[in-house]
Amino acid sequence: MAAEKSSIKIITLIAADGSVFEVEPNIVKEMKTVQSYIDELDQNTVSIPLPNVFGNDLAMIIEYCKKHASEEETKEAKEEFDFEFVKRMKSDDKLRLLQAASYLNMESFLQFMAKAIAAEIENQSVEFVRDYFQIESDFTPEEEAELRKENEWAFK
Amino acid sequence: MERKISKEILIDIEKLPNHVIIEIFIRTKVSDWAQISCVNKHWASLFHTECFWQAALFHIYPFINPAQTWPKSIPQSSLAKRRFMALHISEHILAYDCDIQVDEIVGHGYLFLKEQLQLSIIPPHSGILHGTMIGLSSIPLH
Repeated sequence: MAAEKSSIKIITLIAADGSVFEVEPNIVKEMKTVQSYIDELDQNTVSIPLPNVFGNDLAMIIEYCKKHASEEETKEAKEEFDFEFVKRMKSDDKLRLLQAASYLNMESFLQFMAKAIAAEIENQSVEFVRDYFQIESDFTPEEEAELRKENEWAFK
Repeated sequence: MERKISKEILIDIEKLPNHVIIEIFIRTKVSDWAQISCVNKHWASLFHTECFWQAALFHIYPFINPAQTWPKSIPQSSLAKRRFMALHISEHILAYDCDIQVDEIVGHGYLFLKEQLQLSIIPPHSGILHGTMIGLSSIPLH
């Protein structure tokens, strides 16, 4: 069994929009959803549909995985990469990639996105945070006033 | 996997599992938590879960032994506030000056928490707290 699994050379990932990505097995190790799917199969080649991830996002995730799986890259180079990676993303991209990371069950990438998102809501008002995440308040005005009063000790 | 292919992938934060939302919360500043907890009822409720506080503790103190947890016997009403105080204060003290004697801070932190716990009506699990603080003081410092 073990020998058969290691004989897998290329994994084909198919994004929601039909775009196809061919990656090496070590790249998808971080994607636990994909990895567990591969582990269940005995085939030499696998093709996996990912209906919840779009091509553009999958391309970015693969780029991240490649960089971080590489043994030649220094820690500094990876940090520099992470910095630039976040810098070129819009807020929506970060939220979409977080969703994708959750779906693909990627631990370190999910934490990386969570950190990037946390930085955006730092020192912001409740209204900003709601708007950022597109969340509607389900508090009555009285309940909200009560909660804010309760939390006054922590408001700056 | 059975969902149909759509033209667009919608972002729906509310559909994410709680642990994913918590990953964001614990990476914001402790002082932002009161604001975040006012977003909606679901988010407010997350700040009352063990899952959140446990994750926060291990995020702020990564060297802590996973077997050590928050003391469980503090009355619910003031639990969140006290935990907030402990993390908020420790975060600020540690951020204040890198050269400051961390052993001393840990000592003060221990005394502060001990004092706070003695104020609570139900006697605390002193063993757990004591263990937690020993865990903190064994962090490799340099």
